[in-house]
Amino acid sequence: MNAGKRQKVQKKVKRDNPVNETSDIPDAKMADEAVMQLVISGDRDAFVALVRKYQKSLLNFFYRMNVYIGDADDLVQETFIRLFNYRDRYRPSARFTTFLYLMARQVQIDYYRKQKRRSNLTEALKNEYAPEDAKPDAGRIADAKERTDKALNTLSEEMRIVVVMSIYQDLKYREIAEILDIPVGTVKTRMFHALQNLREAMKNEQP
Amino acid sequence: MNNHDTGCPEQEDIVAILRGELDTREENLLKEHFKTCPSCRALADSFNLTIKELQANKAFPGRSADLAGRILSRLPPDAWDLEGPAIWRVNGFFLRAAACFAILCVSSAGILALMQSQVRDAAPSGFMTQNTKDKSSALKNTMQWLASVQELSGRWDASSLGGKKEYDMALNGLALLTFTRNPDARTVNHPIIARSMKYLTSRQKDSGLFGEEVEGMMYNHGIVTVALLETYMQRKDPALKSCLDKALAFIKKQQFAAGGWGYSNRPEDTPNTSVSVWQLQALLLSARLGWKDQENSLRKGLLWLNSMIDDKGQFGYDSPKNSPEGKITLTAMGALCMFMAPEAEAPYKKEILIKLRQALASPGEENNLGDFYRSYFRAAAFNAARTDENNRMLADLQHSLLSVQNNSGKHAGSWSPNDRWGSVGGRIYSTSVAALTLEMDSIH
Repeated sequence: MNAGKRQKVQKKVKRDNPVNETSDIPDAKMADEAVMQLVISGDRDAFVALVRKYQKSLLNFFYRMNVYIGDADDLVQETFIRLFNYRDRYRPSARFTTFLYLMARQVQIDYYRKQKRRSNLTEALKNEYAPEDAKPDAGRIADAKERTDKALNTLSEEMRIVVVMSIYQDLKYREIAEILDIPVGTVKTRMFHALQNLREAMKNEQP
Repeated sequence: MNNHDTGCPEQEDIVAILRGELDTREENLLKEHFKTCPSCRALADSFNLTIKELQANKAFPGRSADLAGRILSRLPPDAWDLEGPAIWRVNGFFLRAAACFAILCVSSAGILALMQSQVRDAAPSGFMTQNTKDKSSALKNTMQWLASVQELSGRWDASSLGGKKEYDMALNGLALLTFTRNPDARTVNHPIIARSMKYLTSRQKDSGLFGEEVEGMMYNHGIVTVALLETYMQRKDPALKSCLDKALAFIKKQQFAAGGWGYSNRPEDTPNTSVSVWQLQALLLSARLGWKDQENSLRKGLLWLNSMIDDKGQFGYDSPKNSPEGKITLTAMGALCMFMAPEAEAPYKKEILIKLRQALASPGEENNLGDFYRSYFRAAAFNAARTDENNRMLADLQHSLLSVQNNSGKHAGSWSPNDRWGSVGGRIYSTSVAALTLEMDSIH
């Protein structure tokens, strides 16, 4: 895309979407899909805005998917680098989060492959490097947190990812289905069975 | 969606309604059913409880750093230049720009070569042999790590990496120095250097001081001034020169009548070697770069420094005898400045340099704690003192540093701040100072 065309895209996107006039960084009100269009047109600030908006959610996503906490930062970086590298494949008709988590899912799969030799990342290792407030001796909140973490660990990976995407990332079933490339009905079924298992697991962990 | 045997909805739909996944019609139908079916309502309540318990721990339990800078630094340099590099080959403007760039590089290299010849002989044979490859790869990793933790503003948030906030400017100055002294980063348009320069100059007060008027302000100011002088040496930026004019004037203004500098120049403050050495390095460097009006200040400062030497050739902190933190680092710091000063203009007897060489070679015992700062100044002093013996020591120091660099994890390329001053400077300090020590054979 040449510079003139890029400017045109930027102007159009900014005209069609509310932006903060005092800043080059896209306003929080601007739809992510429009911000992504700016990224495709070569707008570095738009890319930074998306990174800042989603870095914490992605960190949480990888953490919930049992990625070793010390590696989660790297996986978030890798996700955004892939997002940038594959930006031309993004279609504005698709939700931005679908595209983002599609990248994240691929990064996570690659990570699991690389980690195969230590495939069952033990709870002990996770706790050893977990932040202070994530350790079990941090009182009642930690007890509840530990209970939910343990319950999540009882799920198969395919059930766990549906729960993590729906409950922790607030993605809709339709988006989850697109990201995982499975029918919406399968998402619905997995979610039901996952919650059933979680309910039982958490009951068993009650003090 | 009904279970035809019982008339109750499918259990999957009960979960779906709780997640807001059903359309309005389906949702209304289910709600109606709940009114008349206690078992479905109980099931919904129980799933709802599970979901709420999961959501109660929804937040990420750890800290999350801003990753934007690191991510941008991992993208190719031309990532946002969507025209692509092919245009460079056909566009006359780019060719002209490239030619200008090459001329500037040659000029910078010339200045560097000139300055190197003033300070030391060409690198002796045998010095850059065995660990040159290791050093180069270690430094590459260090640059990548430092680049990954630089904010877009150009700042290194040293306090988030264990440094004390009041020394944030000094630590930024040290990080910038690692780039200005790295042969691979000595390009006029290096983005990390450009951003850092922009950040540091934006923090200059009208008085010329870099940073805030805090307790250790002259430490901050001296280090930043040295770092920006070295940046100026490469970029010749007129705006930067104007900042440096003010910074150098501030150094002169803060000089005690006795000739040294203290942490803040308050009435109760006294001049000390540790702070004075950074101001002297700035004055020495500026003199070499052509600043004309600080000869008196420099001469006075060097004389004061000379007055801090004891009869063994070792430096004290604020008097030849007083050195609460030991003499090895102070001796290396003082010796560095005295070897940096052109011999013909040095306001002290040449014999003192012989004594300093001896003191450097036999530093004595102090403590066994690691000390990156001490290593750096000893390496710098060895380098400036120009003897084969000292260069062997420099190689040993560098070899030791290579063995303790972090090689894996998110801090790969850095050095852990586990030395004597790590709790003050954090990881930016330990990494920058270790890298500066490794870069020593290219110091001017």
